Amino acid sequence: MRKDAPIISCFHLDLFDPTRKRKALDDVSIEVERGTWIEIVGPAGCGKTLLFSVLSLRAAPPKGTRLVVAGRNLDKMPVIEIADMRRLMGSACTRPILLDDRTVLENLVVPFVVRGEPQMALDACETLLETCDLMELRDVPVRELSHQERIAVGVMRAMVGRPAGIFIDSALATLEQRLQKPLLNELKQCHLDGSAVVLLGYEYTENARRGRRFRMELGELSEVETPVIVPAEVSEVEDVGGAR
Amino acid sequence: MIQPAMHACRVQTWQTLAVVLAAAVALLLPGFVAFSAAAARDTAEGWLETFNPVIYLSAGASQGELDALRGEISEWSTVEHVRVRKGADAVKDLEKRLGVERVRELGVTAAMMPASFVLVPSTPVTGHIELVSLTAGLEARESVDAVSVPDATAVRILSILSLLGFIGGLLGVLGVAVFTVVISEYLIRLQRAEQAQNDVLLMFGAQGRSLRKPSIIRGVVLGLWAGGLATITLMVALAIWQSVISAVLGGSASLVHAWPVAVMPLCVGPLIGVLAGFWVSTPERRTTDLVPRLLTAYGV
Repeated sequence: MRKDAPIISCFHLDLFDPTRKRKALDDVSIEVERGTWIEIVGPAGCGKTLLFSVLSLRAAPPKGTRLVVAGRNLDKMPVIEIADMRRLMGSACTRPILLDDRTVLENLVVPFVVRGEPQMALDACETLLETCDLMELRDVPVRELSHQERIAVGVMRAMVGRPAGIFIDSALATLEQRLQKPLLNELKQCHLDGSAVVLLGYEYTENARRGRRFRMELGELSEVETPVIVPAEVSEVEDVGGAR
Repeated sequence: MIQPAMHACRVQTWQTLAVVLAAAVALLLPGFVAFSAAAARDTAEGWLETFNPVIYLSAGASQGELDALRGEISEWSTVEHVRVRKGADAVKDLEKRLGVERVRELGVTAAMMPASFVLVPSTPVTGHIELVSLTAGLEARESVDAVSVPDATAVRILSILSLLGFIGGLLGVLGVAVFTVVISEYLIRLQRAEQAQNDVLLMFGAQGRSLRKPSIIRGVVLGLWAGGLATITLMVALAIWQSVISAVLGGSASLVHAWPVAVMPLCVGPLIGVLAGFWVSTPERRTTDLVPRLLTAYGV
């Protein structure tokens, strides 16, 4: 594993959707450098979730795609090592998979347990809950959370422990401001600490100008160079982050 | 943090008990048929093996006729060798069975006892069964005075017991298949109940072997419980059988075939359990919500 290599690079990702009779992903290539901030926006059904699943190593890309993770070609990697590669990443989507009978804190600790770093787990998770102003949820069983709170816990779990790559699929966009702001600020902090952050959604966040912006339309991914109009409420997010 | 393997079984106590019971019955029914056949066979064999066919020779038979007869019998594939029992040997055999004092009291001497051929079968029991008809046919010859063979009914019962053993074997295969299906289905259900946990672990980099471990542990434990239950029941049946045999026949049977049959579920249960655990937990059989419709899962 090369320390200077991009977290993940994907080349010529092609995927045909037989139901819709069109390409779900059309020759998509993207490189996620270490410490970079990437935002990918596009309408519903444009292929964001498919790309998210491939980049976060949740699903295997179709044959013919070259996927390079931390400098290693996934095609030539024994399947057992893919699990090791997943430890570099944290991911969350709009329907996070959580352990319903466990508390929020226990859910947040899972990545540490899997990565074999339980020593710092409790402190890190409690700090994160406090930072995100969600300490009241600490000992609440996940099945008692609202949909919004579940998404927030999913996003927190993705960034807990500062993984090398954080991938969030449309989750932030669906959150109300009370939950969204602190999470976005925490993501910025992760970015400043060296994590690569990849956000997929419907609109760019204010932070998009700090990194690379992409647009996805009908499975085609293109990099956007033009300046982005910053929504007023997202500016406030940065202010909050700056104040902190 | 992560639930121990047997937690899912403890949560569903009644279902687990029902599965263990069903699995135990699946092993017990064929086991009981095979065990009954084996125990009855052991008992019958024990009685039959002490009985070698004997051909009592006519006093007037010439040495040439006897040599010819002996040569003929020796060539039978079911006969390992022919022991010539002269009068003195016959008296010794009689003394062994009745006691020296009793034989003296009866006034039996070597001259009174006819010479005979004792046939030692090449294979126990099977050799006996085949020898019965062959030996019985010799009685018509002039050089033969009489023959002594096991009772035909006993031989017929033994043949039926062999068939029963075969049926027990077939039922055993069926029982093992039912056992495998029962255990596998339950392991799959437990695995599905833990799908969220497995998905979360997988997402954050858990190795495939750590995801497979709970199913394998559950397979071994459930197999052990079911096999143990079946074995305990068969052991009780074995003890009852032995006491009945000793009461009816007046001696204890060796039951060399019945013991392994009784212990077999204890070995077969965990073995099939571990195999079922391996099988149900392969990446292809693990369901996941991580993967979108158009993509496939990694085989981790």
